[in-house]
Amino acid sequence: MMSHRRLLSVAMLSLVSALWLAAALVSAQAPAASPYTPPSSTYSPPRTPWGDPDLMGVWDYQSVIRMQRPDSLAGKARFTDAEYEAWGKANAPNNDADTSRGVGAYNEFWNGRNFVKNYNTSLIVDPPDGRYPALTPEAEKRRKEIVAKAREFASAEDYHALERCIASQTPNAPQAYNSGTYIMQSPGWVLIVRERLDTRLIPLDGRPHVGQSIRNWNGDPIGHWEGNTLVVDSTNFTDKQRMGGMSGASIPAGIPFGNFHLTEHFVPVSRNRIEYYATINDPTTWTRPWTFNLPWQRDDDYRIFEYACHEGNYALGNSLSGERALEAEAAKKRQAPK
Amino acid sequence: MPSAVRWSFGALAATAVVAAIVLSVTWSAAQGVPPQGQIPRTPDGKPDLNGIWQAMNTANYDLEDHGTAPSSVIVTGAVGAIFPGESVVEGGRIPYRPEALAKRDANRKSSMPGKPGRILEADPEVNCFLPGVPRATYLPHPFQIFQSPKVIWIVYQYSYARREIPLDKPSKAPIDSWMGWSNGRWEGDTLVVDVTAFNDSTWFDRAGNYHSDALHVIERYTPLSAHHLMYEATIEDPQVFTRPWTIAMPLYRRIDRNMRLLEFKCPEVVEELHQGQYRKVTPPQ
Repeated sequence: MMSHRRLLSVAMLSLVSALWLAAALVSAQAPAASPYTPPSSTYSPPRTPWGDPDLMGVWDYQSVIRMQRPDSLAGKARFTDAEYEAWGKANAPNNDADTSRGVGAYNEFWNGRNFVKNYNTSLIVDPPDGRYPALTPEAEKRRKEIVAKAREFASAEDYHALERCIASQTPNAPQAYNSGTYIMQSPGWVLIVRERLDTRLIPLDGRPHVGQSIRNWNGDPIGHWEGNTLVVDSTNFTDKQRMGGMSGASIPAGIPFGNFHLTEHFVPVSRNRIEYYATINDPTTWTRPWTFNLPWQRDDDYRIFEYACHEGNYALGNSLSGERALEAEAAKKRQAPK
Repeated sequence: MPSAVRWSFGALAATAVVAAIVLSVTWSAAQGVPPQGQIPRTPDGKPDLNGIWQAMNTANYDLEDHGTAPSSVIVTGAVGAIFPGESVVEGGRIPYRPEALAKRDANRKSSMPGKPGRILEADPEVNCFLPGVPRATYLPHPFQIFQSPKVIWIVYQYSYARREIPLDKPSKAPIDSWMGWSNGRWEGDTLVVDVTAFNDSTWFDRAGNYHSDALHVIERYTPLSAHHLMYEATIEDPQVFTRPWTIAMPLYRRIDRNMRLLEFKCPEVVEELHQGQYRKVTPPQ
């Protein structure tokens, strides 16, 4: 057992060093490969009774800006105000309550979202081209296999964790609805309650991460304050979180989270705005670390309500039973005499 | 001789005091809480309920008296057995209306369904549904209280059930829910939480004790020491009970090293139960 494990760790070590070498080679070509450092702010938030920066309340982060910069905006990192308004109009359609053409799915008028102003042309701010960095060859192969396998809808595991009512995705990206997020604080702790499923309990007392064999859908977060910035370090993600790509997903489908090292910076820049930065470092998946920046906006009128997703989740069972019915029908057709 | 005795007694007492101070200082430094007997307070003078708490009883099996019983799933043996416990109900018995008692007994028969699927007649805990109040408190999982002058949040390890409890602005629920709608206030050193707008889908325990959507729960959290709270919940539901009734139990602070809630996201745990019959089975070639 021991020797087997040792063998495995030697193999892992050589794999890691090979990947590190590959990453180093890539980084030699792309100079900005060390993790991104978010800009600081001179804003000083109010203090909690025990002296921490007070970020308590409901925040939301609806966005018309996409994770990746579209090809049409290549080379352009920032919008002007007029360009931003035009982009918003073009990318939040059906906002006129006109039902004559049908409202489509998740019609923006009925969504009534408060988009947070953001002049960046992509949420990804690093690499500077605003695109996901290249996957390692191994990760690219694995991604294709996972996505192809998921098309079987063989069991619940082939669905996104959100469809299974287990978790959204950490780090959180914008989604069409129910993304209101409560930041609650107590001495030594920050609690992040996302209306849609995710609950993160972040100790600030300098403790280590949980042991490697405990794996969480939202990772194991530990945090600290750097000035007025909350820094959260998360590891111990489960590899079961891999069917990203839905609304609200920051990571494309087919990327297992297991080796993620997530560093988040919550930089308060005014009473009503936090610049949120998520940096993902996983040399087994990405050829370099990358960062997205999502502005959070305070919303004092938003009251978090119970989401109770699993309790009413008939969709998952119905979808699976439908898939099995389709397969049975297809099998019957194949067997029928021509 | 008497003076020597007096002296050594005095020295002993002094040593004890010093030891107690040293102990309390190191304890406070290590755990962030004062020694037993003192009630920690927030800067605004309210009892400080911050921390991770857990009930240590068998109320989740049955609020009323219950003896040891075998598991309803034979292969789980003693692991699945019902652990014995005395009633946490004041007066011992829940004052059911006669017709409601019959429904409780029917619930009890179907509490462990023994067949797959979403069995809505079974104990909601079997299906990993949200537990409601007060059951969330005495599930065999810890929960964490986050307290500020204006609001309290409670997060339960079980399925990460959560409650927002505003202390300054009482409000009415927009619609019924599993965990209900909570409004809190301080009465002296007791946190009183008024919970309404429940749906009728949760149970109080695995023994089929239940309520209707007319349920109204008044919870009281009273600190007894730095490490103990007394928890009381008064339950009103005129559709099911002949009068209001109250449960009471101590809650214990979890002082384990690096104590934290861990993920118990049970929707994943029940996927095979609920959807296992739809799993794709590749036929042999």
